[in-house]
Amino acid sequence: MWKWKKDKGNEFPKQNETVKDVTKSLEQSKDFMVYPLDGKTKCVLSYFETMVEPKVLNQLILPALKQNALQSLEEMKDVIPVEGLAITDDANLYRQRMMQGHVIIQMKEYDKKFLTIPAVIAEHRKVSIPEVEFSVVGPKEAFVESLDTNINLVRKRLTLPQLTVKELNIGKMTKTRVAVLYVDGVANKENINTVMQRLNDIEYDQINDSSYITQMIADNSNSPFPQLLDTERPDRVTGSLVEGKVVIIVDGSPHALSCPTTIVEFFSASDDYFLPWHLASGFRLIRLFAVIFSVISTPVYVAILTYHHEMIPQDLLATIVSSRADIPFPPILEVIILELTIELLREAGARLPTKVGQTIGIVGGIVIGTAAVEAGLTSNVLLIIVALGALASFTTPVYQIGNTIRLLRFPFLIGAQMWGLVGVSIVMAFFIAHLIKLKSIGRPFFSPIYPLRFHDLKDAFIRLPFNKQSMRPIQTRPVDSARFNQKRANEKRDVDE
Amino acid sequence: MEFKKLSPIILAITVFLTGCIPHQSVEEVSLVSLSGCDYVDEELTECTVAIPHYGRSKEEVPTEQYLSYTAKTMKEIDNGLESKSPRPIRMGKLSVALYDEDLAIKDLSDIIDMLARDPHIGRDVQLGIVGGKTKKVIGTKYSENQTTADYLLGLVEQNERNIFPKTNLHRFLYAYYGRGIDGYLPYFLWEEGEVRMEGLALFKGGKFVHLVTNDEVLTFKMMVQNFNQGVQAIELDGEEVAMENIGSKVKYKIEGNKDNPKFVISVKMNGVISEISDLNILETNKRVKKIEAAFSSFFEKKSKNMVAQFQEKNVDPLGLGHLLHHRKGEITQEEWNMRYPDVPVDVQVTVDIIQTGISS
Repeated sequence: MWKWKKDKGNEFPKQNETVKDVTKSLEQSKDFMVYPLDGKTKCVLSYFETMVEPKVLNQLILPALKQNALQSLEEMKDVIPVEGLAITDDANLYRQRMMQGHVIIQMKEYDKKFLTIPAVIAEHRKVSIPEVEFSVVGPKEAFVESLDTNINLVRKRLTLPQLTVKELNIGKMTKTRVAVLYVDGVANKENINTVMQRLNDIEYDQINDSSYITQMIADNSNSPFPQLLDTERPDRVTGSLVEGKVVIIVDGSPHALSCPTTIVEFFSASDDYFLPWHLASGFRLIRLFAVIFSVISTPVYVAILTYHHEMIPQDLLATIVSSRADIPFPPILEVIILELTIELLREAGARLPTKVGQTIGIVGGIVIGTAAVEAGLTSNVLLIIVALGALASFTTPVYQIGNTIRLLRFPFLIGAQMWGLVGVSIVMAFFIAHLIKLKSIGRPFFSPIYPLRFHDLKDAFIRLPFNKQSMRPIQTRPVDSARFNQKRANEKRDVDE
Repeated sequence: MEFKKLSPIILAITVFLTGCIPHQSVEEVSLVSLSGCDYVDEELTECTVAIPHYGRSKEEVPTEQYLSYTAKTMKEIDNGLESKSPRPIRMGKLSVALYDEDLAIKDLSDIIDMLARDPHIGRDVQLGIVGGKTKKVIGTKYSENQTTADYLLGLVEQNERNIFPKTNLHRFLYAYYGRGIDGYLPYFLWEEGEVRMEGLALFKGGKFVHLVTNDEVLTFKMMVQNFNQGVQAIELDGEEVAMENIGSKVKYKIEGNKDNPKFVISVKMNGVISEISDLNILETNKRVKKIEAAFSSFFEKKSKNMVAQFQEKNVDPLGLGHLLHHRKGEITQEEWNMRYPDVPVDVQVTVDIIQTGISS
């Protein structure tokens, strides 16, 4: 029944193509140039005008060809002052190289043997400050869309011969370059193999961004929780590498993925390591509280107002009852209306250009909010709760988990309306069970909490000072688990002693 | 795998059955804040509830509606009250529950049992006994900017921070169900539009048997819990001396064995002289020892007298039987009831006057 589907996928790329076939098919594109060169050297040049750096072509390749009388490809290879030249007669490679922005030289048109000269335009965004994971202190470099630049950013920070970069091409059509980075001798072999195997197994036509990879190699692709940590900060990537994690960088994506990861890592910002440990721990706890508040606050409001009137504090009763006196909806509808409004605002803000987006914030926050209260559609108590909940959900330092938190409250709301606080507990139990089951590249996702890894707790809810962080996280099972020699460190005297 | 097959059915059942749970939003129900039960005759009980109606703005003091119904059983009263109310009545926010003296003398067991079983009723509900009719206490507006429920709750809480021992449903139930321990509740008196606390009503089971009057309450509290409030005045050498308690600690000791116990209640009280006719502070300092001794003997005498009264009425609010049961081995309620009147109880009070004021 599904046979036709299978067959279709295999049509591309065609097998047994000749150079002539490829050239013919490429000629359909307007920007494909193929022309014979007459002069001292007689040969045929073919390249994509839009892919090739004119400087390389005009200042290096053409002068070399025009000034010397060259009889063979081998001679050209010696003369042309560009690195990475290759002579081959593989038709597949012909197409591939052409697509990667190489200039190809043949002695005659449709000749089987050809010389490839890399001349791709190195045109990409400059390294700029991180926008998603901005931090006030600490380095202000973020990854860009070029894989080589990104690897350079990592290598610059981690000048270590053991830093290994493996590369593969994924995507039948896009042939996207994907690099796997790890520190040899620290990262667990099993993790590396799992990542490599899963990447190799990817069957898809295009990889447009690293998030494609996240979804494809995740242990449970039906989970709302991201199981690979994505980051745009090179310093965070080096941090992961040193901890023995495996990092995946995709060409064309300014986000690197690190794995295996744990849920607490999604709530730790890079600021946590730049600030003194007690402050960092305090902020981290506030962030965790914010997440719980953001998910739980409105469901608890619904549950208490619908089922558990006795739980409303005496002093709040008058406030809540009088603010709800005019509202024509039951609490659940009231909450859903307001939550949807907030989500609409957020979606609209994300889709609109920045300058228009700013107005959306004002329109949403002030106009819709107060108007809804004055029109008697929502109570102002709820408005505060929903606004605080939305605000709290913005504190997540990793954008991906922020999206999860956004939608997580809706199942809770349904549970709260159906069974009151029992419902909230049931949904909570469901999600906790799911989290406990979840894995990241085969390693437990809920790790420092379950299974309880006592050593990893030193960098979970709180971050202990660096002198207490003598062990790399056990969750990643690093080959070399010691960060530094605790004994030797203790022997050294403090300056103030 | 069995679960996977069953789970959609379970989910469907639970989802569709949720319609069976009655639920109303908080503004659509009548939340009772005060309730009172009065003795009518041997069979009938009249119950009154106060229901606050909140206005559009939270600044307004809610108007209170009073509903009364007379019937035989609590269930009938419930239905009767519902028949008078435009909205369903919910007991969740009950803060003070009052019972009149006659009903308390008859028996409160049924009502206490009902309170104990209802999951919506909090354990911090303030119970109280009223000398007179509760309907009058509930129906009076005492303050312009407070509801009656808040007023009564404030009255009790204020006094319990002071000389009254802490009471609520939870504590009363502990004593009610406990072995060798009897509960006590505050006793109110209503007179010409004013309500005041007149003492503590001691219970034997569900029956009101003895009243601790206001001038004994401080001594009683001293024996049941550690606290740091209250002023006691005594007469010494023909002049009034008042001492403020700034910290008292009580300890229970059992000497002897299970069958021949002797209870020693030792109280250590730190006090400050707050009022004395003698203006010379140096003079006062010389007399400190004497004042201390006078207060000690005053408290000892008073508390021994009170314990004797308790024993006479066979009511054990101090929980001596409870202590004996826990410290020296099992003892049944019947056994304790028999032995309690003759058990020797000694009270030792040590008063320590720490300060005599700042000026002379």
